[in-house]
Amino acid sequence: MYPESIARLIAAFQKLPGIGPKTAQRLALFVLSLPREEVVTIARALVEAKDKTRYCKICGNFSNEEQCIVCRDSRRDRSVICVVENAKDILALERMREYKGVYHVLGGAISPIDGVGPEQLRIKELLQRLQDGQAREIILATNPNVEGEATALYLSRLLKPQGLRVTRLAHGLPVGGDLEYADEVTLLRALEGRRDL
Amino acid sequence: MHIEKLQLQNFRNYRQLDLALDRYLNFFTGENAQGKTNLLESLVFAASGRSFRTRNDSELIFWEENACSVAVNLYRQRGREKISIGCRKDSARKNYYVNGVAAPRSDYLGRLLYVLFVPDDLAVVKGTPRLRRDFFDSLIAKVYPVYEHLTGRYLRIVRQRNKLLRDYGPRALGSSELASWNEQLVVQGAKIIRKRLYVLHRLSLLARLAHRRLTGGTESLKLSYCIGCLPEEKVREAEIEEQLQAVIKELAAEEARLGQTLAGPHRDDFIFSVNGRNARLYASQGQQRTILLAVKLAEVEFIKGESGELPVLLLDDVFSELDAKRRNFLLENFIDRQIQTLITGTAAAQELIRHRGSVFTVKSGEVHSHAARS
Repeated sequence: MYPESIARLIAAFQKLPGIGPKTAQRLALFVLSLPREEVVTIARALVEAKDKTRYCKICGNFSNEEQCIVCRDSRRDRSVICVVENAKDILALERMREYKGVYHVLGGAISPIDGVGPEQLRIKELLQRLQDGQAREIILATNPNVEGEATALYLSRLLKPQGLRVTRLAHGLPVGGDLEYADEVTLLRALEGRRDL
Repeated sequence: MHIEKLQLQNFRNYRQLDLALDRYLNFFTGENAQGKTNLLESLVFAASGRSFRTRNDSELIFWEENACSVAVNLYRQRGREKISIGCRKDSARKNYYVNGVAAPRSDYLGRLLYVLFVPDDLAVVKGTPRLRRDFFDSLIAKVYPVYEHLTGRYLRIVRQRNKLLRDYGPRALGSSELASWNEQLVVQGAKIIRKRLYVLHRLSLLARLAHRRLTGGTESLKLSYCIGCLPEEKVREAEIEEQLQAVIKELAAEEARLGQTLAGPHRDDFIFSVNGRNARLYASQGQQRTILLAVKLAEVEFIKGESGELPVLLLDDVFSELDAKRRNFLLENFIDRQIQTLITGTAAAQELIRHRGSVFTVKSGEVHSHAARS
């Protein structure tokens, strides 16, 4: 129904996550309505993002340089390393603006079903980083699912004998939420992780 | 609690149904394949989000329709409530509503409490351990909504661990990776075992009382739990983690050889014994029926004890499976105790009901009420 050039653009948009045929069509028609310069800017941004983005050689975060913005920042506290599954988790933690330590991206979690074992994760790199003796505490911020938990347990077995403080993010109630609206599973986790006052 | 009204839309062979139920006894009669069991199925679906006959929700939808819904008007201690559930052919998600407002699944479940007795249940005593595990797990999940999450998480751990054992075989032994799965297996497994023991201890007591009355005091029923390779009398509740850990250690080589997790709640069994003999091996047909009846009776009391409300009793075609003595026992114990009961059966069993209640005839997706008897 559409000329081939438009059909191809629609098909391209549809490859994006969360974009169905209707939205893809809307986006494609919107692109056609833009001035040519705008379209070129968008196209360039896509290609440039792909070409210029690499991974920080220290922590594995997204970066344009050899080291990411966190690792380059001399004010960050290098005695604390927060270990996350993916680089996008860093973005979430950074939004909080409270954490002053540095990060380490594993690139996933241990999951035999998906063929991911410790060798496939950036664990060797983490151990290398620890060689300089600056780190005192490792915060394991992997996801609270079975795979994230296995990864955290694996790492704590590896790191505790090295005399490091190993901590895990707490699971519990969302702040600002009422107790009565929390689901049972979250409440159970919160109850299990309760602390003395 | 009791059900005041049941409404179906495109559910199985019901295009549209609006049925007011009797407070006490509801008897559904009619030829085979007319939709009697579908009525009970719709109630279980509304209560649990799941059918007891199929895992495939699209089977619940009327031929060539795209969506079905079940709505139930409940009368509970704290007041009236309307729950409804809907599912669509093109979506794996179900929609849950409480009093017309969309509700999350976790909030929706557990509002309609029921005890179901179907002929298939009779296989539980003599069948495979898996049948017994499923039987008790679904019983526990009814009262503890979190239990389903625990078992789901646990099974995921087992699947991951099995894959690791299959991929690496003996090379997995002693690795930190296996150790981290073991740790989770033990912690999550122990949570499930504790919950099962807690429920079983309560249930066992109630079932023994019911069973004694059913057999006129000649037989003594006991329910017990068997942790894999550990004989149950050796199970120490405070040390389940340590015991599981020890068993896993013992089985390590075997597990690596088979690529399978051999210990844990997914391998455990529930044992019915009568006068000290394992019913799985020795019980007669009649004894199996009596055991099941006693367990169902115990389930009613258990739900009442844990939730404060009497559940609704759904009996699918089991009435005819029982002899007159057991039928009377059922009627006396359930119906006379103000438990709302829905019974399906072919015409033969109908005369047995001298109790107050309604009789309905089910014919090709329509339900006709007869004059209520008093």
